[in-house]
Amino acid sequence: MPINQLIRLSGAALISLFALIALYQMFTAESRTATEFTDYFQWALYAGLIFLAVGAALTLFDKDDDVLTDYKDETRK
Amino acid sequence: MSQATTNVYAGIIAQFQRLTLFIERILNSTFSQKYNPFYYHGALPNFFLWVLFISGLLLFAYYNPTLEGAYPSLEYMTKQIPSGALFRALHRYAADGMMIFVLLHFFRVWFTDRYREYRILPWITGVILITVLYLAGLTGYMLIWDSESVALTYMTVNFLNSIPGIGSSLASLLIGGDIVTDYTLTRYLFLHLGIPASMLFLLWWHYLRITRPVTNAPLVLNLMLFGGLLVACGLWPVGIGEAPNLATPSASIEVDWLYMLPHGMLANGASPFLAWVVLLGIPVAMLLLPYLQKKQFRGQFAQVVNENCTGCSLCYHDCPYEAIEMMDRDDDTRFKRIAVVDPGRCANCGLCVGACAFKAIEIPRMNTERVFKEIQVALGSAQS
Ligand code: HEM
Ligand code: SF4
Ligand code: SF4
Repeated sequence: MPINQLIRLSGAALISLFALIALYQMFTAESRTATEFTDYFQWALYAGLIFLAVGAALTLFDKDDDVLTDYKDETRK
Repeated sequence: MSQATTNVYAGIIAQFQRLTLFIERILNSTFSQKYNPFYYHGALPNFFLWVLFISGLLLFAYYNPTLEGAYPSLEYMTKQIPSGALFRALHRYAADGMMIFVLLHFFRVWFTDRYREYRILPWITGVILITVLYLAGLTGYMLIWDSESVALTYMTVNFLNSIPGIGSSLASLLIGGDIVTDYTLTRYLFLHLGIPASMLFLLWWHYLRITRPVTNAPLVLNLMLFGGLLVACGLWPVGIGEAPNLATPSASIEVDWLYMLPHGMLANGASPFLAWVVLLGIPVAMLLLPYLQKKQFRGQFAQVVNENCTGCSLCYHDCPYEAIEMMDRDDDTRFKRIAVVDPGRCANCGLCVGACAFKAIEIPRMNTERVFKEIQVALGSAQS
């Protein structure tokens, strides 16, 4: 696997992991008590992580990906 | 500028250019070429601008610009309105994000040499934009009107007063009189809303000479930026300080270096003179940067070789910058028209040279003969 794909894959995996934890936190807190989520800043943090993960996933599974990752920077040398 | 100075400058910029190209390559492999933020360096600040407009509109709905009312209205927003504090945080971090991304945009166009010729217009309007953005941010912190905002106001008034002659007039222009009154907050609100409104006009001006300005980043990047903003809000919630007391303002302020550069310097013991030199020196230096480059790179534009021009207007149709006009000619040639280049519009792109079948238009840095020779040499070395 080319190094750049590896970087992107592990980056997206890491952010997705955070986002999954965020999702888990949201669902468990929601089911425990209704009052636990009055602090909207917590929601912001979790939602932000999910947005980042979705964004990372979209760059990762972009349909033009092959063309893009084949990009070699020879012209600049 | 002496030749030695421009050479040293060119050397330094070449290093920075290599660095930006290196980072660009890394971003290409992590974000893919399609979503590389470096390719949307101008568009990314715009995303924050929209977040600022929308979140600001909601804050404006509750803000009460009077000495008595400002703090309670913000307190109400922060503590009573669901998500009110979140909107304040969004507004604040979008402002920080905007300044950070404007600076990145500035470094990017600087290090990749994209400020020559007609781009001097986006460059100069850019310097005005960053200046007014700074003022918008600073007045935003003053509007909060807790005890730190009062301290910030006093600090700013003293800072303005330190200018000999016009200082006190500037100070009363800012706070709407000699002392802090209700009008002070009206004035702040006017500045804080009026300046961003002026930015819309300045942005139009900024784009005026750019043929196809990329003003919006792809959805994916905006999604990630918004995600980043929300994470910042979650990690560093925004609250509200002590109630204001005009006689005893807060002893210290929390400095946002992006919008309180001289205040931060003053708080750390710098003299007002030094703070002024830095504050005014930055935009002045930015304005002077284009004049540090080699003279032969400045103010160039396509040259029509009058004897060869047949007035066929091929170049006129091909020029993407509408920099060529066809004029009537009445010298003793048999041709009726001649191409005339508008130096203010020409981007030195060279397309017209390719369009002309009569070797009648040239760009000075790359004349056709030389390019042909270079191609022949290159072909020769490829064959051997
Ligand atoms: C409010 C802040 C600013 C915004 C929203 C903004 C936005 C933009 C946008 C959208 C473009 C078009 C980019 C493209 O099509 O690739 C652009 C171009 C440009 N900007 Fe800015 N800009 C801002 C501030 C600045 C500053 C501070 C400078 C530098 C002093 C600057 C210098 C330039 C230059 C020289 C160009 C032309 C670059 C080119 O043609 O590639 N801008 N700007
Ligand atoms: S070099 Fe020619 S085509 Fe390009 S902007 Fe100037 S006049 Fe137009
Ligand atoms: S294409 Fe050449 S000959 Fe025709 S109008 Fe332009 S400069 Fe003159």
